[in-house]
Amino acid sequence: MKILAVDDDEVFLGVLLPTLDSLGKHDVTTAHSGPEALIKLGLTGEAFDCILLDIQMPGMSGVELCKRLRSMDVYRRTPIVMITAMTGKRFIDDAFSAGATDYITKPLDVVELKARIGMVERLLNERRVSSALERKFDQRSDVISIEVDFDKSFPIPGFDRGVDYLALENYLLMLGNKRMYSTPALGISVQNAGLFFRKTSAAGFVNMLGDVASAITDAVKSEQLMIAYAGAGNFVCVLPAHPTIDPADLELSICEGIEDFASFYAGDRLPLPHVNVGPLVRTSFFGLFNPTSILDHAVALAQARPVAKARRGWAAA
Amino acid sequence: MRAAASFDGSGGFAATELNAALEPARVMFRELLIERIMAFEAYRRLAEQSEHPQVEMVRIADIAHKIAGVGGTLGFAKAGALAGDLDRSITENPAKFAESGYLQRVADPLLEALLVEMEALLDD
Repeated sequence: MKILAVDDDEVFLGVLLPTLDSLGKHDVTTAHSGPEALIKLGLTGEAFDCILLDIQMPGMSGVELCKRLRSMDVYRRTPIVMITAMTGKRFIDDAFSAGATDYITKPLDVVELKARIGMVERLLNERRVSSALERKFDQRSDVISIEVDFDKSFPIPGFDRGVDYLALENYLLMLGNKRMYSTPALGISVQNAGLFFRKTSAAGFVNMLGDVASAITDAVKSEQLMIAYAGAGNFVCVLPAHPTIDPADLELSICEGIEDFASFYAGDRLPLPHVNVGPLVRTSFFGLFNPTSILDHAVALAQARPVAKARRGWAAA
Repeated sequence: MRAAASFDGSGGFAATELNAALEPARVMFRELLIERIMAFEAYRRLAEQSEHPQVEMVRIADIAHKIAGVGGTLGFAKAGALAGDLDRSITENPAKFAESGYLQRVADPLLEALLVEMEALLDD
């Protein structure tokens, strides 16, 4: 794996490099600051597979660098693992919002690093599938042969507002019990996703998810939240402690956005995607013990709600 | 004093091999001790003379942060832990700098303990 490691502490890099070596053959490039990293990113022929970023660096911080990387097409989806001391955990929220995939803490623990590198390798495999998918969409071919697993999360082409589902899970795990109890989640479910998966091609299914993602992006553009595609036609959001979002209004906005695509669906003799937004879900002391189970719960509630059609007078083809 | 880095033993490297591979970083850490001790003392003097020592304290926290980040891994566990305590005492209480005597009461004893430990490492 081709890795860029950025840290202003030469001694830490002196620890990181042999530790990465001990975990397998990796081609590691180092940089001591954000600007140096940007230069090295520009000079490299083949893009890096993974980027390890120290959060607390003088000048350009790791969070700022992460944002810059995410604005570059080639690094839009590259796994970025932030490195922070325990004292830097307060910066982690910003790091995830800036697009970080995960984080590790200093002092470095080999077992933890091995787990993170393993996660990155799994993610890269998923990325290869997704990139192939996107290339085929870019070609705008009518005959697209792609394979998609209905139940699995994957990056939806063009859904720039979305983060990896894994990053969302990592974010919740980082919050710890105290903050997790005040963090709400909300599910958005495409009720007829299964029908699209069965009746159309994989490309048609991904196109439909792209339309829903576009409608969601428009509906939540001013909201502070993290959103990911969870698989099986479900999206899930993690919101700030005191959210301003109203699930019913959000559902209405998304449905209106989807109606913009109505002529395309009618032309293909397909129904419009039926989107339900679930209620806000919080972790309770007596209920959900696994930090990430709040995501499953939010999705389950969104799936369980009656179809919006009757309530909203929303027309499905 | 020196401890092998934590290692799960399942990779191609043996723990002892990794420990040996960390030696250059360990040497670098030791070489930086004098420079860091002098920097700590200089910033401490400046902080004591200043009515608003935020900048100096952040500099002290930055150095402590670096020591905390590698101390344990390189076998300097006590220095790493003391540096972590010092870093936390400063970065988690920035508003308290304004309180009279906070520096002397909380951060300075931690800095002093860290300096003693770093000087002891110089003698090893």
